[in-house]
Amino acid sequence: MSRVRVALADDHPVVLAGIKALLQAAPEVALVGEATTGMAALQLIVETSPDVAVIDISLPDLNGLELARRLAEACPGVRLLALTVHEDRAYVQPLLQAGARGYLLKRSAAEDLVRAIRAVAAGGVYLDPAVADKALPEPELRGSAPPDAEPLSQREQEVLRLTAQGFSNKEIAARLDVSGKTVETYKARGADKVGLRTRADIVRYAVARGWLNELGPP
Amino acid sequence: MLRSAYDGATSSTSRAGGAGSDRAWPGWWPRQVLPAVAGAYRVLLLVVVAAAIPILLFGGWVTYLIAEHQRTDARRAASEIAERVAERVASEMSAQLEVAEALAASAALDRPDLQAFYIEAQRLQASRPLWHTIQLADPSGAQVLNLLRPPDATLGPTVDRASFERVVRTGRPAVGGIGPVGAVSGRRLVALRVPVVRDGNLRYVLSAALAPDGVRSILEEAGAPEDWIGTIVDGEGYIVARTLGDDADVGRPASPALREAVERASDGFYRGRTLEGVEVETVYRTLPGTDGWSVHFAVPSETLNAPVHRSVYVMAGGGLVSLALAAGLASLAAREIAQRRRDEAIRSALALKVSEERGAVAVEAADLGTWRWDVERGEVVGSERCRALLDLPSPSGEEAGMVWRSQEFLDAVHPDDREALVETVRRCLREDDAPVDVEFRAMRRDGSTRWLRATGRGQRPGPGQPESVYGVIADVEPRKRAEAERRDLLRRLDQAHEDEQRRIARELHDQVGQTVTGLSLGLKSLEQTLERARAGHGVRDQVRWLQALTTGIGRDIHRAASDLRPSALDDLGLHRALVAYAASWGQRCGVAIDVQTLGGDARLPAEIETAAYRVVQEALTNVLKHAAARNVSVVLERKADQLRVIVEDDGRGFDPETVPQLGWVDEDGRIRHRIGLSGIRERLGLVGGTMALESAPGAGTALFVRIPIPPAEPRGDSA
Repeated sequence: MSRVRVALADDHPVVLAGIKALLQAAPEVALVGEATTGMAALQLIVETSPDVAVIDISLPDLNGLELARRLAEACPGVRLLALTVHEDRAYVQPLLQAGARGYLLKRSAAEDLVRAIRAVAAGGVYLDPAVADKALPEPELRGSAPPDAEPLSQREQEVLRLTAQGFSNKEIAARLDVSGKTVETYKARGADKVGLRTRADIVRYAVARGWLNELGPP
Repeated sequence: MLRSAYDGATSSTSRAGGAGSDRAWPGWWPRQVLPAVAGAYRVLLLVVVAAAIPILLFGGWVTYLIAEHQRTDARRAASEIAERVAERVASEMSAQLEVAEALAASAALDRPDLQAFYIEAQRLQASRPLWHTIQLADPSGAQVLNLLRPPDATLGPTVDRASFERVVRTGRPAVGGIGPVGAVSGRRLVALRVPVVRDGNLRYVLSAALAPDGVRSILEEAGAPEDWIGTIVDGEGYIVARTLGDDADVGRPASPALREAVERASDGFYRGRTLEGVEVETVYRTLPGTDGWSVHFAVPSETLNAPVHRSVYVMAGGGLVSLALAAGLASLAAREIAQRRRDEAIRSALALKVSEERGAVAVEAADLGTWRWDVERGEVVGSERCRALLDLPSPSGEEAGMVWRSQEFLDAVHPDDREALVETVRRCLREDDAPVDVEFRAMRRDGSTRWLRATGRGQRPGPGQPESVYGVIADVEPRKRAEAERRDLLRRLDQAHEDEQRRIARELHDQVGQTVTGLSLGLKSLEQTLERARAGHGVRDQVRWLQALTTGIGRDIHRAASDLRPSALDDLGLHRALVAYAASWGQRCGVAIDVQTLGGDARLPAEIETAAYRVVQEALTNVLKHAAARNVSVVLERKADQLRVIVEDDGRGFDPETVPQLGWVDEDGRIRHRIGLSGIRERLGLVGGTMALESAPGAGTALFVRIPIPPAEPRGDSA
């Protein structure tokens, strides 16, 4: 079994040294090079074309996402394992979308780095257990009306559309020249008919129906 | 207008003071006392006059009653005198008749011996001065004997046939009337006739001719006042005697009124005229046994009524005086009232002046300008300070006040603020309780602007009051500047705070976090080394414990850094940071949360992103604290010129009518302050954002936030 060729990039010398020591202790991993900046890492990877690139996504000169994107472009064969301090789920999804194959928190690195490298090198996707649930895709579009749903009345539709456009009940009431209570009633009935529960549901429903298209491009 | 009111008040004050007090009272009296004393005198005079009127009227009435009483007394006195006279005359006549009857019974007439009778009669006549003569006539009326003639003289028939015939017919004595001038006596006499009956046959009729003087003397001795007129009238209505006039009256017929009265009743009272034409009131009595003689006492109406007339004059005079007094009283009262009104007017004018002066001083001290917008005329009237604040042109006219056309006034207002100002004024006029309170910028002619604040209220159109809005105008430029500075400071403070948090977070992540990572890696190496060296379990356990400790530190550092400042917000932008935050919040709190983004997730200025992120954080904290919600929706909508954020929950909600927006009532009825909301408002204020809250009990709460996006190009750097 050939050793996995790994390129390493981290701007933090202590971490870099620690990881290096860790990897050198692992017989199945061969470290092909290391870098401390994003650009250097990019160059290193292009030059050495490792199996796996273990890269801190918070390098000072190049944002992790950008690096992942460029890497996917330049060397599609190199599998990127993002090494990060960010437990924020905000980072996980975009990184995976940008082409990263693994997401490893630095605090887990001591235990799991080698396992992660192995998994990624084997063609799998490695997610740190601490963020695994955060990487799942967002919930399915709700608000698809049940097939036997009653059609929305014009008023209900109007109220739902205005609600989705961000108007308050009072504003809708003023626009339609009805009372606030009436607006609430229309909204509740309309939402009920098409199986919507929250404002976010209504917004989503409206987007799916193209009701908000007149809002124009962002 | 105010100026003229002042002038009026001042001049009227000096007029009143000068006229009333200075001349009329000694100079050493305190001026303040004078009006009071004068007022007291006026009141006293009023009381006296008011009291005099009834006294006068009562006096007049009493006088009249007394006079009336006097008249009644006089009448009664007349009646009594008449009675007395009547009695005396009657008894006198009766006595004369008795004497005559006694003579008629004389023995000398038995044979008859006329010679002897003549002598006897002569003797009797001598003792009777009133008896003018005695005559004897036979039943045919021929005189047989008359003392005025010698006994053998030839005599004519007797006069006064009426009484004679009565005696012949009745055989009873009779009193004749006043007879015509007798042929023998040459005088008017009253005949007392007595029948001379012998052997049942009437032989003669004896007549005693009485001179009326006797009757008159009775009348005169009756004791009547001098101006009373006593009259005795015979049965035929001829005057027998009279206290007034001379003997020529005797035998004349009495006045028609007298005759009528006698015919009507035997005694009584009547009004009429005397022979002289004097108005009299007469009391009369008919004499018994005198064949219809009557006694009359006439009291001149003038005498009788004089006291009554006097009393009437007195009363009339009293009435007139009362009338005059009443008129005087009325005029005094009117003057008193007028005086009081004047005093009142002066007082209120003084009070008004004082109050206006105080107001003016206050307005001046507060450095306020006054303004009045006369909507009907389209004019704005203002003070000098108002002119200066707005840098309005000096009015060219000679009018006292500063007057500008509405358009002139509006031209001095910043174009962006005009609409708001006009709308506020309109609403003030349209609605009852809508005071004007508006801040606007004045455009000064040198191009600078100045923040002003106009407050005031509307005046309903009334008589002489045009529909207008009036109030004061204040310079709020320093305050506005201070506010702007404060806002700027706050923004900078907030910015510095955020920067500091960001810096610390970065430090934790990039330095401490990395070092901890290095530590943990080093510990791992150590562990591997120890493993290879087959070190004792104790040491390896210790290393594992250190590893676990290090992992914990790493986790804590990450959490602390995230809490300080989510690096995702800087690295990935608002949308992703918010989605991530919401997800972890929902997981942590057990609330389903759904973030929807509209209009793309392009990056916004860091300040706005931070504000929006923090606002949502605060809002979610509120939801967790108060709402007891199951679902929360966060909607981010990016528009060309603003970012809209809606955070809506399906929790218990509250009634914004009863709970102030910055507080809510908990189950125990206590009002809790929504510090989170005021924090949101404050934070939004720093970026010019606004918020609105919509809620109803049981229907959840929705927070609507709008943050304007400055037109500058959005941040170009990408994640």
